[in-house]
Amino acid sequence: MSLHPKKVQEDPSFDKGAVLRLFAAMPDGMIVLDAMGIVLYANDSAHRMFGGRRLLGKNLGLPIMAGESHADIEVIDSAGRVGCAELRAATFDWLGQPATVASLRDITERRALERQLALAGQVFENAREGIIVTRPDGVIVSVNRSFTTITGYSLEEALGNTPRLLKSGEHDRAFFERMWESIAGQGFWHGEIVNRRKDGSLYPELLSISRIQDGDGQVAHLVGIFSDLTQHKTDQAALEEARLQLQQSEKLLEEIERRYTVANSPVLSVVGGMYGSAPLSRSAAGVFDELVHRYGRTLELAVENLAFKVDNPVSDQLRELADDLGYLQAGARDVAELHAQTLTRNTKGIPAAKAKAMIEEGRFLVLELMGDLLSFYRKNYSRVPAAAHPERDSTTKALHSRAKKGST
Amino acid sequence: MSKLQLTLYVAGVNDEIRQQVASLGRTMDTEVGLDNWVLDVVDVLEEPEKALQGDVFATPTLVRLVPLPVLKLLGAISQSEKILSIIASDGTGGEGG
Repeated sequence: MSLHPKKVQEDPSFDKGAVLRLFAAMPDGMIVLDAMGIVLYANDSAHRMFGGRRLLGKNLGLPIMAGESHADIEVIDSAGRVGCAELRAATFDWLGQPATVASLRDITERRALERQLALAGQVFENAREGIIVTRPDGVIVSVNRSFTTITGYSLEEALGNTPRLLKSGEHDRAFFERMWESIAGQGFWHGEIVNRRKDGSLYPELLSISRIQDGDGQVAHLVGIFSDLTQHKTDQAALEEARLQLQQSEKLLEEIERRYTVANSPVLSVVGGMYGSAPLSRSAAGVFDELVHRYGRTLELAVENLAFKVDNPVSDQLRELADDLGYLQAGARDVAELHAQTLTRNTKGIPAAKAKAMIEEGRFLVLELMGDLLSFYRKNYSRVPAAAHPERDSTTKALHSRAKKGST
Repeated sequence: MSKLQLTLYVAGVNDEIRQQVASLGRTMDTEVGLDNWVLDVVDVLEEPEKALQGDVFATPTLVRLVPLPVLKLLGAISQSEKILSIIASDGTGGEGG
């Protein structure tokens, strides 16, 4: 705002009416205050900013500036709502008395935009995904921190380059033609691509490219958002391995059961009978869930035994679990399902190395559990052939002790 | 001499406001004396009715309730020295650009 108090005072054409008309026409709030901060005059814009609060004769306060500049303040309207304003002030002579004219510029929207921009900036910088912004001709104009973390290229190295910087040579011309056709036709492309880091290593990424248009509908920028799939691929491979091991374990369990459930034995009548009935996970879902939880804890303890050379009572817990399974008349498939569900639940979101240890230890754990379950049936149905006992006991215990030795 | 009674109206209490209040407090301790002043802080986002009741139109506003006359200062509360020179006086001396 440009005020010229001296000129106003010296100008013979100055009159109160002219100044008031000038103030009234201003989009900014204009308030004249006396030496105590009492409002002598306020224009319509000022009244609007204060939500229609009565201003004349009220004590607004003496404006205090930081240096020669302005002060950012919040104005309070008649409903107690708060808006933002930029306050500037100048002293001058108002009808023969010293006064201060304060101008208030409403910056509520500007502040909201600034906050949005600051938020967008933070999201951009702190996103875990790499973000790359290019001009329509492909020249990079901005990248975020995760771009640098994933690719190894700094912002300075990326600026002025094109995304071909990351080209791996793994995709043919037709791949990129399809990508650009999609961006030109639909405005975006989404898919997996293999790129090359600064250190030369290749990595898979999930990439989304979107076209950003300006107000005239012209393409202003292209934005690529990508996440490194290296860990995801590793996890997928570990899960696939776990699934295969699980299948093998299940087959092994069925084989063990087949061996120990001889024809006409009571065990067969109990365990075998389960094949025709509903799985425990369905017939007693709540109990089954609790068993999964308990078995999961035992599995964790078993992995702890391996990792920290401690001696958690894993075998005791397995025996208790087997007893409960026995009372529920569980079969081999119930045990296999218990094992599968527990592994799925317990390996989710943990480091691949720990998941692998859990899967490997789980193989021996499930065998021991199966052995304990068969032992339960045998104990409660005494006609099971005695000859089978030492063989089963020695088999499972040997397996478990081998697992411990093998991992040390 | 009666104790200086001040109320500071702010819109939200953040670190910047805390620092300004602390700075003002230190200046008051030095210039006015440790036991010669009290300062209340009102957050108008929490208690807008207090701003309306107290005829406070904007924040930050520092109100001197005692001694009379009631004096209000609006704007850069960070200017502790400047503020003190006004509130310790008879209450006139608003600022221009």
